Amino acid sequence: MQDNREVLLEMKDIVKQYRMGDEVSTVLKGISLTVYRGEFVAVLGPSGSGKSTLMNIIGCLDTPTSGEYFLHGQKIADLSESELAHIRSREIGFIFQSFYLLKDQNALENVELPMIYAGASRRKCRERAKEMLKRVGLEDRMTHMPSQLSGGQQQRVAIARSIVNTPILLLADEPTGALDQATGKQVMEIFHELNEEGRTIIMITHDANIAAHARRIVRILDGNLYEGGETADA
Amino acid sequence: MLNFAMLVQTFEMSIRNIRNNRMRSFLTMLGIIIGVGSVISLISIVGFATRSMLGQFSSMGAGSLQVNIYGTPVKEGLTDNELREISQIDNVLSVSPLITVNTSVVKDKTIYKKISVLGRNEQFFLRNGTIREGRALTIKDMSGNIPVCVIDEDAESVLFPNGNALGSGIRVGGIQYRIVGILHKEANYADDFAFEENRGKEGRVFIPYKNGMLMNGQNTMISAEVYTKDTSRINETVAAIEDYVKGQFNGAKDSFYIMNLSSILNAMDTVTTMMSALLGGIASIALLVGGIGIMNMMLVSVTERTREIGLRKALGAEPIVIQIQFLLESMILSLVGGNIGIVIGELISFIASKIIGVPFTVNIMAILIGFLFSVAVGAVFGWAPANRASKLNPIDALRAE
Ligand SMILES: Nc1ncnc2c1ncn2[C@@H]1O[C@H](COP(=O)(O)OP(=O)(O)OP(=O)(O)O)[C@@H](O)[C@H]1O
Ligand SMILES: [Mg+2]
Repeated sequence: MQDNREVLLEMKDIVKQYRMGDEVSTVLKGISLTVYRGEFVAVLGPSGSGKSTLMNIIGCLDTPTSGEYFLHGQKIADLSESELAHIRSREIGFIFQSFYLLKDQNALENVELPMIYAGASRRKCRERAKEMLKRVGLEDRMTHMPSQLSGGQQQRVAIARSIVNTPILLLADEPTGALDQATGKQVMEIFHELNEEGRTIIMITHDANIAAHARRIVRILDGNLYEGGETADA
Repeated sequence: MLNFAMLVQTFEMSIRNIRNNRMRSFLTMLGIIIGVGSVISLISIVGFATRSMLGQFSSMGAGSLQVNIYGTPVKEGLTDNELREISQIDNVLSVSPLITVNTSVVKDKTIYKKISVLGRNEQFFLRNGTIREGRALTIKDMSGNIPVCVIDEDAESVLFPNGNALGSGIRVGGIQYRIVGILHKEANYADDFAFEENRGKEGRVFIPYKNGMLMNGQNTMISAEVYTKDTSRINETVAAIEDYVKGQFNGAKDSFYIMNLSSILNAMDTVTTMMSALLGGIASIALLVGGIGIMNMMLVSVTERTREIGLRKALGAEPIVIQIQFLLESMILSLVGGNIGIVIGELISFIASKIIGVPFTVNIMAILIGFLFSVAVGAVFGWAPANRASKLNPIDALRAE
């Protein structure tokens, strides 16, 4: 197998339950997953199967009900709030399913945010943010407010924001959901480049064509994870 | 960890948030503006009022008493002899009659109604009169028919705007008087306490007390100042004088009144201190209400911006950074409000000083109190909402509607 590769994250028997009144619904039913450094993983699964829930746990935004999660060999459950913040700003890039841009800040300022929280200087923030927006094809929309951007453009701003700190791990929840095929393809090209640079990517998608870009596919069904086998190199 | 660049940008974000909610920010600040403004203006106004009152009393100086005679049908006032006997009472240094002369000064056919004419003896000048030029009135001037006078600097500048007052003549009660001395500006002198609007406004002319009595057509004195030797024994002295005067008026208790200035000053001091504390307390309530306004607005803001907070945390903002952002917002609001309040408060104080008629001074203490109070209000009332924001769980916050 691939035991000679460096393990980036390891999940052991992750369970996530939501309690609503007396009812307890178990969304993740004991998921174990190992992702190696440099992998490009696609997560497939029907709506409501728990993909976003899993992604939030991987991104250190949510905590599992039980089970252990190690990132970089560090047990996430042992970390303090500010250590988690540190990881979120420097090691993880998150593209949310519903982009989540700050509506009273323009594209550039939105992209700068993770850098600000990583403590970069203003000049560096500006430079880097411009570079990233250029990379997603929005060089002529830098000072637009989110409300002045189309859904696809907003999604690209969110992508630029997720990679501005050159994270080791890029988590993308339906990154091409709001994009047409051509733009979606552009985004996939960016992902490939990032992957080639050595960044690990975990991407949720409904679209089998998009999933085909990944080197590894896992499926979530009814709270369980199934290894979907390797795909051919795209 | 937290660094300078992060702080600067957090500060900018706070400013932007305040600007993006102009109306709400202004209304929030209004509470602080009114609070600080009223604290400052009330403290200053009490100060001005106190100064104005003290100014009228304390010109007499400590350790002096004023004996005021209301008289009885058979006896109007005190005689020379009685004054001499008072001056022999234990601890009494000297006595000076205080004659409010009902006449005006005339010079070059102009009547100076706002210059008051006071009859005094030589003791008054021994104790209070710093003479700038010329000489004081002496015991030799007290025979009742020597037309000499001493004027103060206010009267000098009104009567002799071009100088040369010393040795010149003015008419007092129809008689030509020669000015033999000019009182120094700093000199202490008791006023006649007539409290008439214009009396003494343009200065005072001092003539020998006997001359004043003659002009008034009175042969006894209804007011005199008593100077004591040892201020700490002033209460016994008051009692002794009281005994004596009562005896002279056949035991009629309400025929006179002895005003003890040091005790009045002390009482007044207590009253004004209490008044400032009371008014300050009332104004602090305004400030407290303003603070609650800030807290309310910040809590609303935290609730409204829950999703934003969640996103910031998801993008790597540490709890402390979120806390600082919200704390900065509330502190900027209350600081800006506080400063506007200081300016408005000083403006009101300025107008009040003109109305009361004392020179305007900026009360540094009041400004400091207003400033520190507004910073404290911002920090204290902003802390809870900021803390609440920093503790939000990112994913819950992101999902919030
Ligand atoms: N805070 C919550 N409280 C209760 N139930 C929740 C909560 N968050 C998610 N769920 C439930 O967990 C399940 C999985 O949700 P999740 O968002 O992970 O789905 P998903 O696989 O991402 O779906 P989609 O493809 O539509 O985005 C859903 O049934 C949802 O109702
Ligand atoms: Mg989802």
